[in-house]
Amino acid sequence: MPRNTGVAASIIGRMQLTLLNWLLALLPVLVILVLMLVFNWGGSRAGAASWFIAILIANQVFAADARLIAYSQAKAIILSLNVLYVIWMALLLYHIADEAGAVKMIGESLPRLTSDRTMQALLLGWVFISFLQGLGGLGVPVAVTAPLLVGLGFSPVQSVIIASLGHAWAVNFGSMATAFLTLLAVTNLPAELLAPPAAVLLGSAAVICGVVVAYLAGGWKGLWRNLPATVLLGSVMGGVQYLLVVQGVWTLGTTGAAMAGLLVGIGWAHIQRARSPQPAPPPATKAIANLPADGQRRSLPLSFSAYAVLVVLAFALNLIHPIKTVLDRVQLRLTFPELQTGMGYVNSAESSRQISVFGHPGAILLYASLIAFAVYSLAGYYRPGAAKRILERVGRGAVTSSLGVVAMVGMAVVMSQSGMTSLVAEGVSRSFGERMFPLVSPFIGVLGAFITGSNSNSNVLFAVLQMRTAELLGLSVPLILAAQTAGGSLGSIIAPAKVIVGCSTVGLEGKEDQVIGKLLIYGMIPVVFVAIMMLFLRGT
Amino acid sequence: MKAVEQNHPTANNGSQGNGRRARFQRLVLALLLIVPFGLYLALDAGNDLLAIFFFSLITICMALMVWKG
Repeated sequence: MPRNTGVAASIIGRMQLTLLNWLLALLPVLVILVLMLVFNWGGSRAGAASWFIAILIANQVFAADARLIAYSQAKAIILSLNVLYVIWMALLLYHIADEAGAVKMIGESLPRLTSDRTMQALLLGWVFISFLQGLGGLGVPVAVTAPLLVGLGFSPVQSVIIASLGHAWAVNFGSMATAFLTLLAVTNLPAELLAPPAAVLLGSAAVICGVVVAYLAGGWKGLWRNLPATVLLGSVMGGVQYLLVVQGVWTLGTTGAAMAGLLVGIGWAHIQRARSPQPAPPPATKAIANLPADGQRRSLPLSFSAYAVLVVLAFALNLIHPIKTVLDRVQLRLTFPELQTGMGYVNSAESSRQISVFGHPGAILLYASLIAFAVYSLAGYYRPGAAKRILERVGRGAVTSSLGVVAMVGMAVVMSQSGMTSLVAEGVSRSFGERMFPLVSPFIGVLGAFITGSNSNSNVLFAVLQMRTAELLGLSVPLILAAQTAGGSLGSIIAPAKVIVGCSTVGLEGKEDQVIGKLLIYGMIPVVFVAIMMLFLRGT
Repeated sequence: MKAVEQNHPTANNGSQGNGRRARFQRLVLALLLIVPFGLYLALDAGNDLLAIFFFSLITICMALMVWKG
């Protein structure tokens, strides 16, 4: 694409690109950075504080009037609801399975397939944790998997690092693609355009994450011994993820990929066991694992049934058009008038992103949750009062993260509507230029995730900025946005908030610095790989 | 798994203070999810007074989030 210098003038209106204006436009983001990293504030509190800063600067410096600011909050709530619908329902499905003992059953069965410690770490700390991430994030995958790795004999620090790195590639299309959904919401671009390049970058990063996990678990020897399995599993997961998102089933990008990875991994472990004489692990895959506290036996296929139902429903409801048409009949959508700041920055009249009440990915998760609850109930997997406990856990898990999403989206939309994001993008584009920006782009995503602890929030903060910068530099917008969300996905694992959750489950409270230091080194390997890929892909 | 249950990010530590904080957070979240629709309707109807009222509610919720954490 040729560089279009005319775009710059139309994007930033009469705003002057000076260092002071640029810093003021960036100030809300800097405030979040300082409050979260220096003062250890949570995302919701820091987001609310920066919301005030954003409104003050938008009004006083960038001449956004009260009407524009008020409309921006109405826009923000539609964007927030699009994301929250999925977060709430993904948490519901996770807790329905967890309360039934299904998550524990799956996690304990996998290491019994092989006596090779590196392969155990790969199955549990790379494939299984990615599967968990596919269903719901918020630190839960690391909290579940790290103690299981400790139980296999890995050190607590090693366990948290393996678990964190193992699912880094899976965050963007994980949690029912919440982060990707956020990317779509804030950029208003179609999934067909953004999903394929994101899947290519993250699918490739999946292999690198597996290689690093194998090295961390078994050293060079373990890595070399399991390199064929790592490449095969990584290719399968990356390939399946790509196929799913290209087919439009991006909500299942990670879940489907990890399920394929689990199947191939189990098959590979069986073949290896048949080929070489190893100490026979206890048979667990056929039916029975350890008895849980209630003494009720859990079957592996039945434990997986909740997710199998979800996969079938997601495919059916997305690909069978008559059903989709019926479900999409009830839509929530707002229309907004053209709004302009006193500095001539124009927001065209537009409709918000629509929310299909019964056909939304969140609704599909709800249907799967209800069916899974019925299946586990019929199987007798629940103790009395299970429904109440599940709803309480969903409520506790959802509220804080929801407040964070609402506050940060509110702030980001004010920045975007008042032209502050475009001015920051203009400054960034002039500083780096079209040759260097693709290399820097994933690191901006990492920075956002590191600050906010979330791939979704990184996209809220920086996706529009990256999009505007790509437009100004004449770069491919889908590719730059793919780098943004890939960086956000890979960078979310080094966020202090997530590390604290992981450490708290393996007895490393107060020793998070031991983990963060090593994560900063190993976690950068896939990011650097993505940045190098960007250098090659920018010309395509 | 005991460690997970005890230290799980969504685990209930049962303290009264946290119960109050959770109720407060739920209330703020409910307001932040509902009030913007009122704000939109007020803006659309050209009712500036009502719009100011709804925007003030959002502002108060955000201030409470900063204050209470």
